[in-house]
Amino acid sequence: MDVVNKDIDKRAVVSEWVNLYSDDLYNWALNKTSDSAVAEDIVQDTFIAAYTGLEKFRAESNPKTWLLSILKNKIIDYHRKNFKEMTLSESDIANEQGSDFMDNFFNKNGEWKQEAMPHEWGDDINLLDNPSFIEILQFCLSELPRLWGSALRLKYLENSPGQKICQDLDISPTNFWQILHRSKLQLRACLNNNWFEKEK
Amino acid sequence: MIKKLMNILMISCKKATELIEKKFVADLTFKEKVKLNIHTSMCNACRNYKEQSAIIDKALHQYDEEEPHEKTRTAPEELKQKIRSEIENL
Repeated sequence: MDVVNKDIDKRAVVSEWVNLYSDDLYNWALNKTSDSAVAEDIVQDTFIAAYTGLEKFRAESNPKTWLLSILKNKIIDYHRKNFKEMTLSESDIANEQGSDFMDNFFNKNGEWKQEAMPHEWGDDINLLDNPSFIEILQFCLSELPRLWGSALRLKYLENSPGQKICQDLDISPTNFWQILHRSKLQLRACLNNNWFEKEK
Repeated sequence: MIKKLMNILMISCKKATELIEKKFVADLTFKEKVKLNIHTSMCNACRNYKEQSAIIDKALHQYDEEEPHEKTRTAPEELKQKIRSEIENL
């Protein structure tokens, strides 16, 4: 049976999907944006896009898979837009939060400060399957400055080579990994303080 | 001579962590690789950083590619209603 068949009400189909899949889509979007208002907008846009593009949906495929593919693109669009809007100039990227940021970790010779020095984390092989750890990871991601968060999420969500992401964002590779460097330093410190050091 | 060579090859921890992160996005040049290896062979803290950075990389890969496990956060009922009425008006 073909959903584009005129006899079938497009509205009824998509409304039913809203009932069935809103929670999954919302959950997914919230996970990947760390912002509930943004997640709500993305879910809404996804259903509207699904409604207007319903003829592209094949009845034999899984509606949830189809909706998720729309949703994922919208999440990437969001991070890209976020990134571009906040990128005023290349020098601003490097200097966001000023050079003071690096002073949290390194002394003026570029050596680790005593309090920031990474110590061993131990080897918990089940770490990434631990829901409590994932919760902390989620928290730490949401704590990142918006621009950094978006840069970091793009790297993993797009799953494409760094060069391609830089082209899409129109920044130099150097700037991109400088942002990632700062994001990672902060993320590592947050995980360290809220998980690894806390356990001891 | 050796001292001079060491001066060229020595990098700070700040620079080392930068190279560790660069490696996730781009290839390091030969010189960068040598510098980083020399540094991490001598610096415990940066060796830990390198390991931990890889763990975070793996965690983010897993986190952003997989469907969320927890189903606890449901979409607000008002959102569903709003979407339904939007669709009615399209």
